[in-house]
Amino acid sequence: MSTISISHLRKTYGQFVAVDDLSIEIPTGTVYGLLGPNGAGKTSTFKCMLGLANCGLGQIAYDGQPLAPATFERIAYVPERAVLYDHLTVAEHFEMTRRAFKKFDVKRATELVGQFGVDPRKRARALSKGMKTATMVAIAFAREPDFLILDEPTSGLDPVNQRSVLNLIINEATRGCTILFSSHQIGQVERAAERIAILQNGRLALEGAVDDLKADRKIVEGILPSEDYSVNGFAADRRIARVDKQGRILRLTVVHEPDEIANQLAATGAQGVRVVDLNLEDIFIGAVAPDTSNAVVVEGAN
Amino acid sequence: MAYVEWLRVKKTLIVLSIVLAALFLIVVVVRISANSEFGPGRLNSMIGSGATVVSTQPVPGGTRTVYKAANGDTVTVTDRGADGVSGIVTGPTVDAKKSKNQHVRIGPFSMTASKSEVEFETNGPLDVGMVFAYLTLFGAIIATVLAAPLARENERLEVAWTKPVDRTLYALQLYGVDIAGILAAMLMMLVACIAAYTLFQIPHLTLTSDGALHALAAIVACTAWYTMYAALTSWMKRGFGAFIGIAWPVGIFVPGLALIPMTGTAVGATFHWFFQIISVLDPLAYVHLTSGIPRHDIGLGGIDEPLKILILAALALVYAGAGLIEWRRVEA
Repeated sequence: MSTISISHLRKTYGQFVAVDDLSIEIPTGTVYGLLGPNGAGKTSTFKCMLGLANCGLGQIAYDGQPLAPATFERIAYVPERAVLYDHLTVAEHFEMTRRAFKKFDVKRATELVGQFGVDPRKRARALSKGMKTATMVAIAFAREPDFLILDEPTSGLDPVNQRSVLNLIINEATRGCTILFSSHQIGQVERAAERIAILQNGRLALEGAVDDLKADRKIVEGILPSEDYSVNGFAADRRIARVDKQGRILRLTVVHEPDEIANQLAATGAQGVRVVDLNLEDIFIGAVAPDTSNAVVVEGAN
Repeated sequence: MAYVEWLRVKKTLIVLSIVLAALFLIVVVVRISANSEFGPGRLNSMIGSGATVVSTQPVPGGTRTVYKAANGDTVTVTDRGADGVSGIVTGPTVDAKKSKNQHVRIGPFSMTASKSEVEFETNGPLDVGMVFAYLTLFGAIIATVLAAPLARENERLEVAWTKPVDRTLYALQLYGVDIAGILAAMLMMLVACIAAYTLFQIPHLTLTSDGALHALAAIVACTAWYTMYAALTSWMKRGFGAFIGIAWPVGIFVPGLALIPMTGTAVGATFHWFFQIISVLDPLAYVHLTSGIPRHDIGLGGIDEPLKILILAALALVYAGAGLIEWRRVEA
């Protein structure tokens, strides 16, 4: 049984369809990355999952049960925008959380904000954006929830604290927590997530285990003899899913026989030809490109 | 769950206590500086210059003095010290008021004029309920300070609505904390009023059924005023402060406009009708305090207290419910 199940979710704002027929299963203890360009429907999905927005159609279930007030004892949420009470201190936010939830470790929360360099005696209005995010993250993790839903949890944080948050995510997952998070930092998602879903215009463009998605395809890259070298031959090749050319640099996303394609590229006089593993950024761009059914040439990409 | 609201109420009460302490201090200064007006010589100034003392005799709890005033009136005054002063005036100027036959009472001060004499009492029973009722407008100010708790939460629904509590229950908790805060504030003001009064005279505190009804009406009126804000603003994510600000002038002027007949023209009659309808929905329109003073039907304030309480309670419930329904439809 999946821990979090989203089934045929649809959310509209007037005529605008924010999420369309989205179905995702998130297994217990998984770190699940939700990716997509701006406006793809990630935050709307989170809001529907938490009942913060009314979803027109679809079902959300946590351990097979629909969302109920008691479910929030097990869910911690860090929204995209850090929503603290400006007139309260960080410590008062801890107290508020302690009173609201059965499980909240004030000591751990204090330690966490200390790691992020936040003074618990400070009022929220005096905190920077990153500090507010850090406070929300600390509160969420100090609750030791079963489900963590994190919408851009590293937004506004410096690289060191971003790394700390990622470590926290990974540690929580080892504890058995199921984590769904979104981030525009694809490298972070690649590091932490076991599975990903990529949304495009509210619809699910791609979903699966990161390792499987990476193993599926390879990148063949090289430096062409000249900038005006024609790559139409590669574009027509059915083994190639995508062609990216920027100046003399050519990157081919190859579905089958990457070594053979590499040899062909080398035969054109291209230099430095090599076969490399696909990274999540390649997967993401491949998924949200206008047409991935056939090989396409993207001039000036990257 | 309503911890943040409780903090807001606590802060409001702390500020109120500072304000009350400052006002009390001013009253203390006034009392000290005007000590002679409340000392042994105070009766001379009450009776006027030229009065002569006819007789003085001790009575239980004080002294009874008979004065002959310059205008020929006889004034019999019983001075009970800190317990107050009472007296009877007879004579030609009283006779001149034969047509008058009235009783005026403002709190503990009362005056009864008949064909032959005028009786006065400076420290009669002080109805706690009525004093409480006089604080209605101040209670409404506190209600305004604490107003719009749901609209305030709208900026942080991601926090408010991810707590393990039903939203209706959560909203009711917010209402409950605020209304308890309004009540506490009114009680603090009541205590401050009585304390200030005690600086001048020892109060004879009572609670009549009429006073209790007025006090209840005051609580319900403030509650209705508070929930009216909830109904007006609970759907708003920002800008609700403008609604809060504009509600006072509207709440005061609309009942006033409703009193003007304006029936000379069709337009005037329409306006009159419109303002009367709006007045029915305005909790402040029901605030009208009478005690001893002959009651005139001043708009909705003149209706009987039990009916007033029922209408205000209904308004409070409808406004609270409307605010709640609107709030449940808000999206983060």
